[in-house]
Amino acid sequence: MSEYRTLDHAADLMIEAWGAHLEDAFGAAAKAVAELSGTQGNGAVNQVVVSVRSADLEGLLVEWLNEIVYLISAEEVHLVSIWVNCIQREDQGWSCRATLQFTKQLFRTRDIKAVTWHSARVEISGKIVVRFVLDV
Amino acid sequence: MSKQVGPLLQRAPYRYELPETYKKGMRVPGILWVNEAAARLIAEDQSLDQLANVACLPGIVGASHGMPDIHAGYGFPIGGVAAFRTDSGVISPGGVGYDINCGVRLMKTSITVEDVRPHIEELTRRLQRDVPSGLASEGELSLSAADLRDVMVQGAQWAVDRGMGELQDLEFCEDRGAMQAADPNAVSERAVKRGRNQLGTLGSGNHFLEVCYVDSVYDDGLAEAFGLRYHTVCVMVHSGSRGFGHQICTDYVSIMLKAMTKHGIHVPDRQLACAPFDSDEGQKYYSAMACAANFAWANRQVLAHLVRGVMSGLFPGIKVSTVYDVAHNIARVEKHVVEGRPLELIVHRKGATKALGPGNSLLPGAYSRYGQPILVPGDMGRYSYVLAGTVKAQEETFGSTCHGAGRLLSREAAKKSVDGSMLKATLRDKGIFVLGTSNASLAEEAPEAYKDVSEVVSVMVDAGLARKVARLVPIGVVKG
Repeated sequence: MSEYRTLDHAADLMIEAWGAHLEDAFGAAAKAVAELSGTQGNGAVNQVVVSVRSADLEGLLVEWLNEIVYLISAEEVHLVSIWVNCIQREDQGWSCRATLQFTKQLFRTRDIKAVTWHSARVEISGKIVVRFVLDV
Repeated sequence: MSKQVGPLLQRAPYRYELPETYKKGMRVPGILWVNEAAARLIAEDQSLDQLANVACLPGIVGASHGMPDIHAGYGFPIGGVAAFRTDSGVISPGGVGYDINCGVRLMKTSITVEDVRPHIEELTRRLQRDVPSGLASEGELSLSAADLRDVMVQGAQWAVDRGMGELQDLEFCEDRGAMQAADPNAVSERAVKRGRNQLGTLGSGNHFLEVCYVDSVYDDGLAEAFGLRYHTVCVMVHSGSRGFGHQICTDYVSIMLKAMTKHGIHVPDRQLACAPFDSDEGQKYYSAMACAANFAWANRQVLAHLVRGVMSGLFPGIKVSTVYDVAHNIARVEKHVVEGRPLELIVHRKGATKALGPGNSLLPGAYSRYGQPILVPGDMGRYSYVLAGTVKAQEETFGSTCHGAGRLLSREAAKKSVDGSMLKATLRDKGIFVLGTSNASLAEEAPEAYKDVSEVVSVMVDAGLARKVARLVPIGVVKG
């Protein structure tokens, strides 16, 4: 099970998401971005596999979520399921591989400009907690 | 003796200094242009730390400035101004922000509030109908890759050449609506894809169209020069480079984070990722940023054209002309005199407006004696201001002033304390007809979520960084 909540931020939106494992927390974070975009869709369900890499976990979180922002705003998809298959350490840092199911987007209610690097955090102490700021 | 407010030292009325000793790594002090009450609030705020972080960046000149509408952003504070030497300083995408050339266009009309008020509901509904928000609804214009490359280079001129505007519009845009540094080869395919259907769309968040009128004139000569007569109806357009600019910033923050190791640069916040201005990464970002800036000018030009169409449909024979169009998220190469020496600087303004004083050679001929019109939107329930630039601003703040009211409440706090439908009713009772995409988005942008812009403007004027020209009061608002 994975969850998220919005936290107070002066100008934009700060999100905290969590899960038992890194994959759950990153999945919850992506779900937050998708739900806060307010997309609705219809039509056939398609699937895509997304892979991102970064030097550290915070960078991986930002790069992963910016993939979600790009898919929603440029490819105009409505995400119906987000499965983060694997997050692992590699020689040059970390990688994340996820499977996304989506339909065509009919509309969205909010433009999310980007996931920012400011305040991006991944905390590992028992459960995994991630925090990030969305520029809206 | 200097008065101390927390870590801030008052050096002059409305000028508070954050000394270099505040944080290890600061290369210059911070300067906040605020009154004492605001200084006390900001002394406790995250924006002060952000102002200090900017002061740590290589090649910064003079000071890291905070305008009176400063509030915490990410990386740079919103309301921040910083200038770096082009020969030894950096350029930072975070110092411009994701919405590159987010800005404001003010148009004046040939009719008065008495003409418009009986039709304000119909006018506002038509504006909402004919001006797309762009939230997956797409604009009227779907650009080919070749068209988009032309937009990136030509800016507002691209739209005017296709019948969407008048040549005079260009005269009254900063940079005549196009930065010369634009190079489409510096723009990613992703940015192209994200921007291809968004030209001529308003966007969401704090973007808006506002029908307003001149309710106060403070300087008859300046107001007459800008064509702002008592009760003249105006339209304000607030929008930017849409997904095109957002993706360019996303791309280049990542590129610069990787490049910083190569250049030996360390920053206190990764959102401040930067590269030397004269490096390959720095030059490519500047070229790509200019493409986004030009996209934004083309966007506001198309939006202005759509507004003109609506106004002409309802008020046949009306004349709608541009007062000015300003960017408030941008970096530009400019020449300034620093400690008596002329320097070429890359001036970053994030939530700040350029402000040229009388006699500046960059001003349109019609305004050269008066200074640049500075457009300062307030909130949808109160008022906005038109100011004029001063020579003092050129000397003290690299020719910069405030850009708006500045947020007081977070979006979450605003949504908790304001009911969007009640807000609409309350504003309607005040004679302001408001339409938005949702009640929640209206609540986020409620008047109480913003500082009183008159206080922000007073600081600018009392500090000598701007002159007050006129006040505009809203009567119809479309929120994106």
